[in-house]
Amino acid sequence: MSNIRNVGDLLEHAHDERSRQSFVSAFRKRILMDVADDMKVIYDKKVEPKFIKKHGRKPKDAREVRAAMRHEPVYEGWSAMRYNAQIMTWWSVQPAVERQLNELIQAARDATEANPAGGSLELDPNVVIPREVTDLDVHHMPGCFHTEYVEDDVAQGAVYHYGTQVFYGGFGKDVKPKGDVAASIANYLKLARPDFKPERILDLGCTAGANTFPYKEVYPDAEVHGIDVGAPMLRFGHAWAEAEGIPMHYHQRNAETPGFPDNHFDIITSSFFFHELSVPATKKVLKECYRMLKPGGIMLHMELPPTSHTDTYYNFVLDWDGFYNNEPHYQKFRNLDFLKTIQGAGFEKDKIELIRIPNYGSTPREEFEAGARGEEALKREHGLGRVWFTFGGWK
Amino acid sequence: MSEKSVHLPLRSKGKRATFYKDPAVDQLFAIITMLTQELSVAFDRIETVERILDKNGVISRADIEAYKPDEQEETERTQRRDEYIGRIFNILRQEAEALLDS
Repeated sequence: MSNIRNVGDLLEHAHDERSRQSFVSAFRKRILMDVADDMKVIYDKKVEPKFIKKHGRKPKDAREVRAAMRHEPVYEGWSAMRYNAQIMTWWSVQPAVERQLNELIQAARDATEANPAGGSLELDPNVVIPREVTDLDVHHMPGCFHTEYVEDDVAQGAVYHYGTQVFYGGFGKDVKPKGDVAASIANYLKLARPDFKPERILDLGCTAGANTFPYKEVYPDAEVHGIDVGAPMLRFGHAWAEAEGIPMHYHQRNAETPGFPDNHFDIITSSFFFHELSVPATKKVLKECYRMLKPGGIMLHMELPPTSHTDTYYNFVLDWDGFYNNEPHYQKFRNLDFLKTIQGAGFEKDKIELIRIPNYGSTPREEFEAGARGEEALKREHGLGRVWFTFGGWK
Repeated sequence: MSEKSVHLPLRSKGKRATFYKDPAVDQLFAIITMLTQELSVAFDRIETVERILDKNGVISRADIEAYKPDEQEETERTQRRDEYIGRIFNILRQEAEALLDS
């Protein structure tokens, strides 16, 4: 056992800071969801009937729904609440990170030096940080994924790590900072393909690694790698993994030019990554995935469901982030023809996978297993984290 | 080790969104939401003071800072916050309620 301090839980929050975080969590969990329900009522009972009366048909896409809803007080109120909650999420953890930044940096240095789990951290100060990250602060997190304020900085990694916990409901016992998406994909693959024994796994845009860890837990014999352009994310992620005793290999690389050899990985994955990329970048990264994948390996990325997979109203709700959460590529990504795009990267049509994987942590185990084995249709609807849309294919 | 103090920025890069015809309303909305948060913080602090006094009869600032509610108390506080936020923002919910009633 190592005695290095764990960057993942060493942050001390003052009484009032905890209280601000609890407020944001409660605000996001309750009122936002209640008002989202109200918005649907108003759409169904007032806005859509009015639209049908005027046009003789239902709205044909999310754009028309948005135009009809745009000045409804409930939409304005819901949007203003959601927007403020997003910003207040990061604000609620920044003061504690500022105050204890030196401790966090020291703990990260200690973890790197002792390296008790045997993982690795490869930083490249010359990495090209793409415009997707430098132009706007994605998710309104001031400083985005990459900004460094001091030497060996981990501040943005800490703001992201602790802020995400506030975002998903507070620092309760039941909140696992490790990722639900990766746990769902990894467990699904293990059940669906029991003979598939991956030796090397790659996670793209891994941030601090919450959705990279679970691959090592599910496939303990595999070597698990994560790449990201943000050094503070990777330093934090590496220190966290070492303190948790999980050997992870993090590299500061751009997914458009990842530089790994051909036929190198058995699984290439990502979570909530592609919708932040421009469409040309998406196509480039997918081609790189195909190149790096071993024959017999699988690429499976978790993403927002494509526009064609969800109904018009839900598309309108999802697309909110594209307009207001500093995610300008979101809608163009969702509008892609996924079959064509995956084929364009080199995958054969009959080896393409578009799978809706139920959330591992919250789905009854029997249902999850039956779904993964294909004995039962994966029937859950997308939304509220109950099911994850994944796309990719076997090589 | 360098002991530099860092100030993390509060403003995120990119255009600030507005949802109302008059952007002043958006600013007021932000101010009111922040005020609601601060009042919730004050509630929490008073509750902490009351709980410590109930238990110990005396109190220090350090007691307050160190105080962490147990699970049962956290559940009660969460419920209190939910109801409180529901009261403050109730106006946004009334139209849907009326439509459901009609």
